[in-house]
Amino acid sequence: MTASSVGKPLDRVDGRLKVTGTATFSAEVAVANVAHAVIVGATISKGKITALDVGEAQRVPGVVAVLTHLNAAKVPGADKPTEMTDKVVQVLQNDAVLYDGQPIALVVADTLEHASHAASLVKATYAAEAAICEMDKEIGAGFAPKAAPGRPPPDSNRGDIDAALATAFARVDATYTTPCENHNPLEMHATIAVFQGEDHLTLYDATQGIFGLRKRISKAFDLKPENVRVISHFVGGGFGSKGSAWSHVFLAAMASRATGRAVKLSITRQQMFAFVGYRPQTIQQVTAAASKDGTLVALRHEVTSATSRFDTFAEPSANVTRMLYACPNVKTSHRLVRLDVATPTFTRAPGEASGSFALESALDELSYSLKMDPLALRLKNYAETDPDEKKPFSSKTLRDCYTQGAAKFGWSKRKPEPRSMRDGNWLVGFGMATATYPSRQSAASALARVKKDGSAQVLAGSQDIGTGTYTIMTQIAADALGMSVERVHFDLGDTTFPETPVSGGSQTASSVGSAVKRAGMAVRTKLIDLAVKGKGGPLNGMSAEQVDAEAGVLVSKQDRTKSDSYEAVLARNGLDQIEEKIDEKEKAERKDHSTHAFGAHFIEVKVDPDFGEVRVSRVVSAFAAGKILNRKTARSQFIGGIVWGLGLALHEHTERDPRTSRVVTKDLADYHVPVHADVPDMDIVMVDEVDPYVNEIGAKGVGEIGIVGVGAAIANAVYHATGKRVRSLPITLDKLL
Amino acid sequence: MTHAIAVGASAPDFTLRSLSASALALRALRGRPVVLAFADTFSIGGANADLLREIRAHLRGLGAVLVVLAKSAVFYFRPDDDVEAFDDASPELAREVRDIATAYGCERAMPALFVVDSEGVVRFARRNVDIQGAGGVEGALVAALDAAGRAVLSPKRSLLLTRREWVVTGLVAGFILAFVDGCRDNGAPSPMPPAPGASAAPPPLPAPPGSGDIDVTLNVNGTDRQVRIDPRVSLLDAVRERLALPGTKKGCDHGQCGACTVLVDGMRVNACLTLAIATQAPWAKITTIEGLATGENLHPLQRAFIAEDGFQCGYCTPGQIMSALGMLTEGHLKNDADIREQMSGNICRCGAYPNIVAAIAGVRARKEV
Amino acid sequence: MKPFAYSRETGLDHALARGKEDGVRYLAGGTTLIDLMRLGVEEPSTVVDLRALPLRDIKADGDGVQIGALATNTEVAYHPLIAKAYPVLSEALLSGASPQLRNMASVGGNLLQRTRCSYFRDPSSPCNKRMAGSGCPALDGYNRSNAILGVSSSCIATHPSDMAVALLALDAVVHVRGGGGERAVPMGDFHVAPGSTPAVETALQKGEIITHVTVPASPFAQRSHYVKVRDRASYAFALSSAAVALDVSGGVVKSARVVLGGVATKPWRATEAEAELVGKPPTSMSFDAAGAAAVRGAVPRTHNAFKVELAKRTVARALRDLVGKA
Ligand SMILES: Cc1cc2nc3c(=O)[nH]c(=O)nc-3n(C[C@H](O)[C@H](O)[C@H](O)COP(=O)(O)OP(=O)(O)OC[C@H]3O[C@@H](n4cnc5c(N)ncnc54)[C@H](O)[C@@H]3O)c2cc1C
Ligand code: SF4
Ligand code: FES
Ligand code: FES
Repeated sequence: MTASSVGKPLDRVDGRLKVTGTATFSAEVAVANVAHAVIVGATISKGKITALDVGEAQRVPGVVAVLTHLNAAKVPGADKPTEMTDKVVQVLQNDAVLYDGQPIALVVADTLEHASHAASLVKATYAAEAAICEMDKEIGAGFAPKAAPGRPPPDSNRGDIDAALATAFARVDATYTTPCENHNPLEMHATIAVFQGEDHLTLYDATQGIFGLRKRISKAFDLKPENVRVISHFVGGGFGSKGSAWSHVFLAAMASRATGRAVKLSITRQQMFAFVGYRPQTIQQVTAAASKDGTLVALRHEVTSATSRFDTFAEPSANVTRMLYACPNVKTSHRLVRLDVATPTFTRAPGEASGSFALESALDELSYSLKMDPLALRLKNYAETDPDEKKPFSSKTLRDCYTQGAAKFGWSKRKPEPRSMRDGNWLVGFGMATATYPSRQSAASALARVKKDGSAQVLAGSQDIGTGTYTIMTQIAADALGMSVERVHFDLGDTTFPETPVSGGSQTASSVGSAVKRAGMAVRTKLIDLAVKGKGGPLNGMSAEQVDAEAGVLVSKQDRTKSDSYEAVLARNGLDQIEEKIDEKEKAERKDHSTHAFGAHFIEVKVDPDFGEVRVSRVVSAFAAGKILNRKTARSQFIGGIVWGLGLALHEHTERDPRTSRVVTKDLADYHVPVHADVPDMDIVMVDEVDPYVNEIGAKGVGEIGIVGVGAAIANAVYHATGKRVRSLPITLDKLL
Repeated sequence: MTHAIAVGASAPDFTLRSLSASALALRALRGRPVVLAFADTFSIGGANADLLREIRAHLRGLGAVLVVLAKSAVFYFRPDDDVEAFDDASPELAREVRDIATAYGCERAMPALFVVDSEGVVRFARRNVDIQGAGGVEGALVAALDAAGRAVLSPKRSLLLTRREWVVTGLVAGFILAFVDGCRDNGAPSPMPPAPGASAAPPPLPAPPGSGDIDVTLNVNGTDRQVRIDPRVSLLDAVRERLALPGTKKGCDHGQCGACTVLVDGMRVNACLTLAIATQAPWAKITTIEGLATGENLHPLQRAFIAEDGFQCGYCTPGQIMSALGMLTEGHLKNDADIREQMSGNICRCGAYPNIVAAIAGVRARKEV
Repeated sequence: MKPFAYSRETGLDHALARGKEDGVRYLAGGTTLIDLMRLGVEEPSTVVDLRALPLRDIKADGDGVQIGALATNTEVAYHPLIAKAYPVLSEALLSGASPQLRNMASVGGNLLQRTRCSYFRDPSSPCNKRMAGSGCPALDGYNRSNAILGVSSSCIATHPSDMAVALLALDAVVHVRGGGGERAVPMGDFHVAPGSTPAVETALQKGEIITHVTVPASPFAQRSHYVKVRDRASYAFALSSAAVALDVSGGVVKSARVVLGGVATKPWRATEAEAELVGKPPTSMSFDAAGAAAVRGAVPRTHNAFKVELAKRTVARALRDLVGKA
């Protein structure tokens, strides 16, 4: 195999579809006579529905059905999550209202206009109860979440933190908070549900996990899993919110079953703040202590995050503190408080994004107490092995990230004093932080097939939520098959394809990529076998080791004039195609290693001294994430993560009215995300890293690490620029006045 | 002896034994609705991509699969899979198809189309489908599918529902009218018992004068397109839901994201806050993302977005590209540094901003727009 | 959205006749109206589209300029008569919304845009402005974006327009036509503070149409400047803004205009701040004093208290930049 596609900055194979508007997102699948459904949301946060008047809604022309808890079919298991991504859903099963915006009715009509209007006419009367949403007031009622199977425990303790603190030279004790943030992918959650008879259901759904969705829905509707088909060819961003089957998917299916029609349900932007998850608020207490030379002697990280009354999701913010630095005494804990709110969920780098803000801010504070360069402090405490799992890293090239990033950024030009750098009227600050994210792998399957025309088709369930799955899988498959990418067609997003995990936790490339690679290799091996052992042909009689594959042609390594094309091999042997399906498991060597990607952010901010407006003016970020499968799409993932970090640092917060627990900031004018003008160009350094243990393809995943540390790097830069330490995100200007 | 299979009757079972690969039996498809189409000749070659898309759309709408029985070939259509063609024309196949057609009473009335529900009951029957002016047999099939969809699905109550579900949705009203309506031209209707608790549809709400559906012409991408809409329909929903141009995206429906950006008379606007009725021809000319490429030739901005990876999920992309085009032609862009401000009406939640700016700056530098 | 009838009028008199009917709303760019209709805040039964009316010209008017009510925000902002002679107006317009929205939004509509108060925009919430007597949840709820000036115990909604702030600083006059003929309403009288009737936002009578706005020539128009402070770099409403204009001669301020945006229930002319400036040399000290004077009487609340300091600084900074610019 000489020419390799993996690693090259190949243009996205689905690029053409995306720029011409012909990539079909879920709500855009063509369905004749589709009925439109609109959800009616509760307008209280706690209590009971005492009356529902749907008369006026039903009289709107074109209305097909109005479903409420009084007439909706029972959905067993709606409140019984079984998998990690499952959520308790509210699908018109009773009169209870548990949070603002909870679905209380569903209107189905012939047009969107009729359905929306009718939905606005449904009148609910409630017996409301006092709802609580102020987390700080509930913190005394914090409880420890149950450890999820296969996940790190909520608490950890190594060494003797109290003894260590007694001897420390410098110490920081601080409380950091992060707000509730909504994912807000630009494509709103959408489902088209088509019941075919009673026993078959097709869902065109904007989801990060077609198989998880199939499992949850088939159980809830008592259907055979193979009779539920989930199709999701394009997803307009997910970031975690589309990793679970939320209420609207069930409702769309219920409506299709009840009306015997195909039903399209696209939720509104306002509803994106109601029942599709969010990153929960956290309150994090951190103690960091060091000896005089900067050696960390103690780290304590106590996290409390908020969840709903009926479901348990804990933001694992302190996990990063357990493993990032070589510190002998580390104690961490996670607690939950219940509020009258909807259930939170995984959000881009769940735990790491919020937790690294606290940890990496505390380290910055410590560096000032020690009068030590923040980068030097990190290098001083570099962990050569994973201090938490007590295992070697499968690979770790963080030191190169620090040095290359710092050099490109010009970190050495940083004047140590806060408020010491200016550009005209602007205050200038430099900040840095470390990034890390676990490299996961789950079981995944893939199928590869070479057809008699010499082209290949490769299939794996999976999803492409913008991460570039289509493209990198095409590249991996092409290399494994010994073909050029132009002849390889990779398809995904259909539960009739081989089973794969959820696109979350940065595991798609590693899990699906490993399966695709092995499936491709298996087909190639078969082809070579046929060429050397099958009927005739120029390579017949050679040993398989003597044959190479290149651009769909088998060649003898000794005598390159001897070659045999895939078409010829298949034709001669009377075959239409050769295919192999591979079920790939976690790579065995992973057990003996700690697997993480690492990186370092160097960020410059400018702060208006009068107004406290913060502008991020320069970003240099270096990452070591194993094999980079496609430099173009990987760079995009890093950039995207950093833009998210910028939003987390400066803009994003969902606010509730403390008296009603209702969301106040529920659109994109009130919930600010970064716009073009907020985002500078970025310098992304991809540090070479070879990792033989992490998985079959040596890639660590690049989807989430970009955001990790950015909150702290910006906060640290703001401190450097202004001398003001902001410990509560986002850093809105009022906090700097 | 021919007898017409009536709506409400059981669909005669059949098994096509002559098919070489595998036998195709109606009974084996039981459990989901099936559309049966009979034609003297049918060829998938005649079904171009658009037609195929339409057939699939109809099958999704009906929740059905489609079996086309022609004397020379049999085709099995499912909405989300490749069409299976059994086209090894043999005298046995022709005989089998003729026999089945006889059982359905349409051997002399082709093309004919039947919708059979999941329990094997015929819900719609149409014989002698007009093929003149319908674009041949294939076009006629789509027209018949459309008629079938309207008949069994609209307006209140699907006739494809089986008995169990009738009970579940007892509060849904107005199905009797629909039933009668749907079957009017299909021979003898066989009334279903009403669901418990169901009542006739209440009279619709009074609408303000002049607010009914109106026929308007929209000039989109240089073509006049007729749509029948209610004045509430936004330009965004008109192109997405009525004109099958879903390239323009909805990200907020309130002017807060730019995903819906289109050009109206060359100026970029938010289609979500624009009434379709107010941009009808000849008042306005609309350009959407679907109108940029000429055939296979992409617009320079489209090429640049691909080359610079100016997107991730691609959902904001049509809006970004249309906005960039508007920006470059409206003439207020001062310099490259100004691109960020001038593009700030287009949110990219994936954060592809630096690459989007690079793509636009490249097009600008090369003076391609 | 409630159903409505649509009509497009080409003559002003016809449009005015339609406007007398109940439940009629005029439509210009639609960026406020359609938005609020989709939210269920506005529920007209008839929408009368004004865009075919000949009210789009921007032309010289004596020494000043006349701007048609249907001229778009983009057209006004970039018009040579405006950009040069009335920089504050151009700057204010270009700081507002997005290029797309500015291509749609009209001058008349911009003056009549409604508050972004989140409770007002949610029909399931009480709101005195939307439903008289239902209460004002913003008073003690989440009120970060709400006003600190011109407030009442009934309503603290911020007027969100940038353009109107500049127009007030320029002594513009709004010309309206109604059943009773033409009226000219000075900008200072056009918007009204909520008092006990927050639903009443302007001096416009039922059915009246804004035909144009005139901006007079003034000694300070050309030396004018707009500063807007917001939560992100673009595409956001003002947390605070200031339109300032100075006529300086002989090293002394002869006359001044200081108008605040983003912090008040209507475009807020700070006459006390102007008084601090007049008769003195334009120095940082008097600018700071003007800033302090501008927020005198401010009523801060839980989440918007920062606006007192911010508005003060916005005024001082706008003045400093203005003098620096010249
Ligand atoms: C996401 C978003 C962000 C925005 N950001 C900003 C911002 O930062 N700064 C800012 O200033 N504005 C901002 N706006 C508001 C925008 O400027 C206004 O919506 C716009 O100016 C309204 O003009 P229009 O022509 O679209 O009005 P329309 O929506 O057409 O009309 C508004 C109202 O005025 C009436 N009306 C219109 N024209 C006339 C007339 N000639 N005579 C009588 N009545 C009339 C209508 O009946 C209606 O009640 C933003 C809007 C959105 C949606
Ligand atoms: S401030 Fe005014 S607009 Fe806002 S809720 Fe109170 S009354 Fe309504
Ligand atoms: S959908 Fe129109 S601006 Fe968001
Ligand atoms: S590419 Fe996903 S929103 Fe821009």
